[in-house]
Amino acid sequence: MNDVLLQIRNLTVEFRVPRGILRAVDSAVLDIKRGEVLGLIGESGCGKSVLAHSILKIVAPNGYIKSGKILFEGRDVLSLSDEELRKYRWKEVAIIFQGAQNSLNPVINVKEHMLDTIKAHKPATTEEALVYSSSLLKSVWLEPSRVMKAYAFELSGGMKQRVITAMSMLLDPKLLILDEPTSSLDVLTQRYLLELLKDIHRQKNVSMLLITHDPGIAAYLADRGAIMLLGNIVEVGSVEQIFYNAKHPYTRALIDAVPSIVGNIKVKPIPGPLPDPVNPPPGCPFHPRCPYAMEVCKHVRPELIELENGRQVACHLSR
Amino acid sequence: MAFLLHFARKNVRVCVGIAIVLTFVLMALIGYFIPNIEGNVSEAYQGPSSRHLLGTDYAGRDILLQIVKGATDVLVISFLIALMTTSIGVIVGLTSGYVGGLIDSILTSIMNIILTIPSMPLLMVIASLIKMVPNPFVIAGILSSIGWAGQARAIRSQVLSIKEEEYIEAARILGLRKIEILFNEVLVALLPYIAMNFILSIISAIYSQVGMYYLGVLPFSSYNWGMMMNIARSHGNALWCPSTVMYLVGPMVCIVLLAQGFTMLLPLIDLLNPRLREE
Amino acid sequence: MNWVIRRFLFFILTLFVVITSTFFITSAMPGNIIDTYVSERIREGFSVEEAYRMAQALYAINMSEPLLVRYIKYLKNLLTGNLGTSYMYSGTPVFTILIYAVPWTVFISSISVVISFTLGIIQGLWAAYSRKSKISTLMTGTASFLMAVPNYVIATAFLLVFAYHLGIFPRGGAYDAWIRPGMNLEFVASALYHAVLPVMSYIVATYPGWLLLMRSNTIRVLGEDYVIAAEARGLPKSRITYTYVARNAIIPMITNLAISLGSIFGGATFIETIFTYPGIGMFLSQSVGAKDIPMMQGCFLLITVATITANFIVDLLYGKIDPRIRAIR
Repeated sequence: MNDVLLQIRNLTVEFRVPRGILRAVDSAVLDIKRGEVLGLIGESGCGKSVLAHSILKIVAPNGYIKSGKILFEGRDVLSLSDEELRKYRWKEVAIIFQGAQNSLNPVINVKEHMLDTIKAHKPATTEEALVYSSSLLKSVWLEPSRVMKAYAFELSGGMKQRVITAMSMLLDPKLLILDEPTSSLDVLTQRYLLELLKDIHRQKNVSMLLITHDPGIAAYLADRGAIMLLGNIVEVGSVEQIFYNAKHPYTRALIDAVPSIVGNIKVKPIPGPLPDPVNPPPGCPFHPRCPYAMEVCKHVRPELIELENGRQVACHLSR
Repeated sequence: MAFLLHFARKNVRVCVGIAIVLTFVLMALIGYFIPNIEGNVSEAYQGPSSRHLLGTDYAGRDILLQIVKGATDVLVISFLIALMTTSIGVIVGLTSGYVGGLIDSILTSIMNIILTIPSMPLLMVIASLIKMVPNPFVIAGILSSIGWAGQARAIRSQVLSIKEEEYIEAARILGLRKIEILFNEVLVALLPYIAMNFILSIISAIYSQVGMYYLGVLPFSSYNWGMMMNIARSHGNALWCPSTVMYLVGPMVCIVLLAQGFTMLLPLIDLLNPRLREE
Repeated sequence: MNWVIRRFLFFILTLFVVITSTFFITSAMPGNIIDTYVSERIREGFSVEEAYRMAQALYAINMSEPLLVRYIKYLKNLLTGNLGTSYMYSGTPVFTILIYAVPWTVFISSISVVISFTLGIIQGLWAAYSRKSKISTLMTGTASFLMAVPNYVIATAFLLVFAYHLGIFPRGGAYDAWIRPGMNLEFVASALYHAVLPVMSYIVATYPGWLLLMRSNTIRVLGEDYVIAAEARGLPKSRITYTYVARNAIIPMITNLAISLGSIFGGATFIETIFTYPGIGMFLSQSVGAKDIPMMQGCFLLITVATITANFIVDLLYGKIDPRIRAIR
């Protein structure tokens, strides 16, 4: 299919921790289409960041990709050579990290950051690179003459976030990964940033993978949503389908757990503690907390199956 | 008992350190009771043998016995120095940090002046000009006259940061008097830090004391390891004569071992600090 | 600006304290060397006046004058470079000896600091990058061990093994006595040959500290977000290693380097004495042993004044290197 940009097939990522082996991503399957915004939603620790970082083959020192394929335009990212991987990074797929304020090197200024990034991928002259960087800074509503020679400690949190956003579009990537882009910002700046991202999406038609624990943010920006639990993708569908007609009990519980300013103020938190990722329960990962759990749910892990109109669910109830 | 074994297995380095330090302390105790070592010149320059485990020096004296007796010197003086510098350092640092104001400014200036001046030359000059008596207290006093400044400054900065902590503010609001706060809260919080400084100053006391004897600046007391090295190098011909090389090398090995032993003890402080305990 | 003035005042104050206290310690304290010398001469049979005259000739101090006058004379002498006459080297002005000694000290100290620092940071960086490997663990363990060995033990060991047992390197001195000093190849070669052991001792004694410091700094920096972000941006490895990792790891160490540079004059006392290397440190040791007051005073003043001044200059320069420090000040 030509409109599918990225295909993740049976990806498993594990970490060595003092207590044992932690499986952060468990045979995950996910597609990202060209030009769409896909929201990856889940509780803290469910593996969404690990999944997203794997797309760039970034894994923490104590982790490793155990198995699976990540096909970007048909090529498996995980089997690229070091040099091919370096060229692929940022040019095809870029990422804005969580708490991105610390993504800038404290001892060089913004101009050097931009030059570094451009020169690593394109044989441009310094002038061309500077002109292009300045125009990008302007597009995120920053003043280049002031910002270019600034160091990280001279910029406010919001300004740093915008610099990093501009830098992410420097090479016109096809996919932009946003890892909790609004987490360390106040509400007003959050809204500002979301508007900015929407603007970028409209202008460049870049695909976006938006990682968040807040379904509301996904609803605002995303076209489709994928729900993740304990390293498994449990439901995929359009934003309307997920919000108004969720098939998986966990999805429903997640949506119900978010308080809404209008309408029903009663909050329904999901009962029970988060299960231990080093020793996950057998069968369906949600069965200890699922109000509809059946006997089969305790022993057999439900696979992600495709329903009509592009939806996918991993639940025994939806057979 | 089982607890001790479990502890030993998890913290091997600390236990080795304790073992080393205890061995030397034992040596020092034994050394105290050894009478003055006489030597038979006819037995001079002998290599290691069953009678003299490390050989004899230029005057026929047993080298191992001298080392054992030297341990007393080294340990007693180092301990005294550490005690003096830590006490003065704590008192000055605590006062300076807690009281603040003019007293703080004066004390800090004194500390900074002392610390800017290179310590080794200063100690050498002081030691050479004061009437020297082979009394450990006097020697320790001279070496401590400078050393307290570093400790005081470190303690002062710790006190300053503890002062800002919220539980101190809470104690003040509760109506505790300043003195009570000082002893019950601030000092208690400082204890692990003071303990670590104490051990570190023992180590640096060993180095500076032995070094000064080695240079010949401190009074003649033939058993200190530094003095042994000094004589070995100048009169004792340990550099030329292989059979008596232990006269020089023996003390060197002991210095290294003792310093390592104390260094290995340092993590013990973290273990005893309730704030850092993981269980 | 305010800070610079305060620092300068502190500098002047320290200088003043050092110069004054040196004067008092050496000539004004009771039980000092002058009195000891005089009482010894009196016991030998000289009269009191003769004894004092001898002391004055030897130590250039007139005890009959009031304290303040002596102090002013002392200050005047200092300003004109008159540091007295050495007792050990009968009649040679202290100033002359110091002029001779300073280049040797600066020579070995500066080479040592530069090599030690450079070696330490290169190896520290490498040790951090390959910290899972066995070699790295071995290097770190050895470095930790060496840190606990005092520099005079290392120097003595080198002297014993390389100079006496193996005879590869000379046992002392700055150059072979039969060579004429000058800009000729023989002299330079001999000087370098004699400098090897002292420099090696200094390096072995100090570079473990740099290594461990650089290693732990680098490990910390490697875990920082901006390094991972740089990798995600597809930057070449060399650029990341130097501009993103090494630069950030070295910056906290600049203070330490500054202190090391500041103590170039005073820190080599042990090593120079053990290798009988004619630097200021060695002359200080000798003069202490021989109770040669003018020499001792001169060496001490030179070492101290040089160290304080060097620290002051380095302090001023430090602000220029790290832009963050400039902002704080």
